[in-house]
Amino acid sequence: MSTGPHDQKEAQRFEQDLDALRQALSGPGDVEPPELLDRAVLNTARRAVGTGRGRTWLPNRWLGAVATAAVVVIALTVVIQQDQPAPVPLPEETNGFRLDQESASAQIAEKSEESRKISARVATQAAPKEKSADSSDPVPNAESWINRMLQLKASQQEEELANELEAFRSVFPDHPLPPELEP
Amino acid sequence: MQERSDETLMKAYAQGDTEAFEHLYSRHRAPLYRYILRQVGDVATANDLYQGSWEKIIRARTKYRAAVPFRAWMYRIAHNHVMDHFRRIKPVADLPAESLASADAGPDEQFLQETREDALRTAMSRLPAEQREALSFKLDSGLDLQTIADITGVNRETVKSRLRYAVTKLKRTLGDLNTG
Repeated sequence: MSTGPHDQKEAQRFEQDLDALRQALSGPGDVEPPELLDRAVLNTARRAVGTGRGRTWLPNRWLGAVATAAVVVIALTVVIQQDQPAPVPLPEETNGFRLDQESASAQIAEKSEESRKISARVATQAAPKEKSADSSDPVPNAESWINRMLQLKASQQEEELANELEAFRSVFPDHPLPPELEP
Repeated sequence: MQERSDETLMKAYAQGDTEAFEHLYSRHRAPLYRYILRQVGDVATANDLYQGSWEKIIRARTKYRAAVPFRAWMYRIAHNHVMDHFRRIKPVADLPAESLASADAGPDEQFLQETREDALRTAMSRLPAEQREALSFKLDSGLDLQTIADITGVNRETVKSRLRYAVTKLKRTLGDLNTG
């Protein structure tokens, strides 16, 4: 939009009027705020930013974001820990007198220190060829264990046989034993 | 060294640089004070509002965005503070008519000048608040029409119109004094 000569004249006149008013209104020396007021404002400004001793390590606008991030991290940690599955109670025995190696160890460990030793021995003595239908871990087998004990009996390793018998009974308390191994 | 802009100084102050605030303050203290004094008419109230305006500016330092001209932002805060004051109290009482009546009293030229100025101030204080404010922004703070429009929340033409009305009324007062 262009301004015509009339508008320009009017604008000039308006500016002249303003100048006349400015001159008429401004007394000797422009009015200024009192010095005490200046000091009060400057002190407030210094106090607001920590007496001006330097910058804060983090701008104020970031403090809120950092606090929020910290809360989120803590909340996520709690949620993740709650989501982890609780340990499944272990069965006393599995089908066909077979025990899962880890399950048996954990269960026996809860009962007593002695049982844990026995469990470890059972796990080490389990035949690698014997595997359950639904597990690839080696599991102890009562029959093979009995065969091993019979071999110990045959070789007259009485002390070791006694230990094995004790361990066997801990795991298979009701399993029938051949007459040679009966006490 | 090139002088830093108001916007740069304000951002620096928001980050803790008090020296930047001192520069900024020295630039704007007088015009802001005159603007407020012109609005309220008495020194005690002007002092209160002036200090209050700066306190608000200081508190709002972290919200300031350099994209907004500092002067417009500062006057906007002061304008709102003054308006809050007017809302709390009743409109400023008219000054006694004797002020105008005394305009032609006394032979002394200096006295005449002072009386003339008093009369103009009185006339200005009687202007509607929005005209008085627009005129003060123009005369005391040297703001342009668009900045005044931004501060007061109206369009540029409205500011222009307010200024014209104000100037016309004050010119009449001046004319009366000259011919009286």
